[in-house]
Amino acid sequence: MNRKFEDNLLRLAFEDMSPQEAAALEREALQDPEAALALAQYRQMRTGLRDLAEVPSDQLSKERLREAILARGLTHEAKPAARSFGWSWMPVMAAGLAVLVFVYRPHAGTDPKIASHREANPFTYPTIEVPPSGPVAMNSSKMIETAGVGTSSASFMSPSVPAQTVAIVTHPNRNGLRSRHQARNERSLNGLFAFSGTGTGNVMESVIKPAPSTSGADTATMASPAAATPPASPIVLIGNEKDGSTGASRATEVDSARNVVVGG
Amino acid sequence: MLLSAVKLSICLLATWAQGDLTNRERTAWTRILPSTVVIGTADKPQTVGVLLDDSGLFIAQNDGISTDIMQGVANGHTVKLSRVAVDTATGLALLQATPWAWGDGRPAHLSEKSVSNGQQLFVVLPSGPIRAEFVRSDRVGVLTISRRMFPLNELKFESPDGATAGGIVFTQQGELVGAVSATLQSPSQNQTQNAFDNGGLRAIQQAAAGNGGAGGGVRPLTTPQTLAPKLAYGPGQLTTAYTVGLAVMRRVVEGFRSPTHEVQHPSIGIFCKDSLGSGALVEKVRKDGPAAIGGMQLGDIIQSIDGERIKSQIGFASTMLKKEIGQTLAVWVLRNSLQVRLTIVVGKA
Repeated sequence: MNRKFEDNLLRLAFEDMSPQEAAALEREALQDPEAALALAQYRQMRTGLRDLAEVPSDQLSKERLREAILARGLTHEAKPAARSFGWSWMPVMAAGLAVLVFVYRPHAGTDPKIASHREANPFTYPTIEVPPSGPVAMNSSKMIETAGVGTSSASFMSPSVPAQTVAIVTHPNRNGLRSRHQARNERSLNGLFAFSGTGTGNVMESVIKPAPSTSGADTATMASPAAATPPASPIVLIGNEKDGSTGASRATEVDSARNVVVGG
Repeated sequence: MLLSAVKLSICLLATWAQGDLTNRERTAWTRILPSTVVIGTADKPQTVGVLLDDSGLFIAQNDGISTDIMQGVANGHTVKLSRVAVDTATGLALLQATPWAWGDGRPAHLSEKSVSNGQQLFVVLPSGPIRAEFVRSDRVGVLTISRRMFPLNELKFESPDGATAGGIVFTQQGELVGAVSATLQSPSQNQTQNAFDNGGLRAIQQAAAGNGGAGGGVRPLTTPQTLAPKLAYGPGQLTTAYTVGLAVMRRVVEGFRSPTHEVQHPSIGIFCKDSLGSGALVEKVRKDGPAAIGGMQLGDIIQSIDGERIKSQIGFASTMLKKEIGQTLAVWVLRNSLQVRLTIVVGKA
């Protein structure tokens, strides 16, 4: 098979000759096995080249990708990315919010928020938001009578209008959760008072019994349990005795005011 | 009697003439002198009062007044002083001078602005005026007789020979600041002064013994307290004194000047001490007092008043000082581990 015959086979495979020439050349090629094989390879090559021309849209070359980026920009691609970010982080954000609510929840010592229109009228039952420590019940608190008061020289006058009082009762042990502040005060109270109630139920079921104490009206300081207490700021105690050199009342500085009884 | 009065006046003027005061202080003192009264006898003056109004009402520290009717010298005239009212919370008394016909004295004017640290003041004592220095106004004190807590002004002055009880404190412009309620001697200053006194005395005695020759040696100090002042020189010992704060003083003066001469301090009728945790532990509740009517009980721990957190009994007393009589308070207390809200109307003490 010479080169001219091979070129004719190539033209035949790519249909680059007249039908008469193609039929004559094909008959001639079928008689020669080497020429028939070459013709088949050339036709297969042509078919492959045709397939290469039809490149799928998703098989982009670098050039086509660059042209597409320059032509369309990147703004349209941001939207689906943002939606994906929001959905994926939603549980994380919810968990963080729950942690914040738990950390900054109101403690037992803070005032629950009270409706302002109720606050203006203290002689009606206030509207109170439920403290986080548990449900709320309302009861009228009892008046008390105390003995042993009256040795002070200060005289008190009752207000002309008696005030109704509202007791807010909470259940601190609901779900077994209590604030540290509440637990600390409870420990403090247990050190000072004896409760007849269990301490876990309604306030009306418990009776507060004051611990035996000295006559506070006659002494400036009173004994207290030796439990650790936060340091207090120094104050000046002005006693009744006179200073020998100045003739004025003698003042004494005390480092801690924790045992000083103060009226008000 | 008249001789005694003149003698006391001369004593006061002699102190003024000693030149211890600046020209401004002398001017203020000249204006204040007719408005002051020295309570007691000429031989034993006890305390000082200052005129509150034209009718002859004087305010003075009650500590120096032993009886309801006293003798005094005002503007060179002997007067009779009768006790009209006493504010037990602060220990100040209101006195009426009779007869009161001398119009030279002008009622004292209470200082409108707070005194700053380091400001020069002068204190009118029974022995005369003496310069003082304002130290600080952030001290709090408790009068054990009334169990009331008040903000205190602290001032220092050189210890005079006579008593300082009831000294009236003025600014250099002659405005009233307060009355000396109590005095405190700083241990450190006393130790320093005593060490100097004893050391100087011992040195002099050693020198005297050395000059004496025979035997040498130091004789024991038998009475250093009486000898030391004579041998010491330089600035004398300092006296730390306290007066009630200006706001409380203003309340007292206004109460004394009122027709009833009654001083009204806000109170709900309880006594508190510091709680082991945070808050003020109620120790006593006055029967039929505002707190008792409002439902407060023994053992309650006051945690907040009108939204203001109460950390201790001092905080409670400070908060109460800012309240007005008749004001309704929302008080949250901790009772048996439970929060209780009380509504209490402020009364007066």
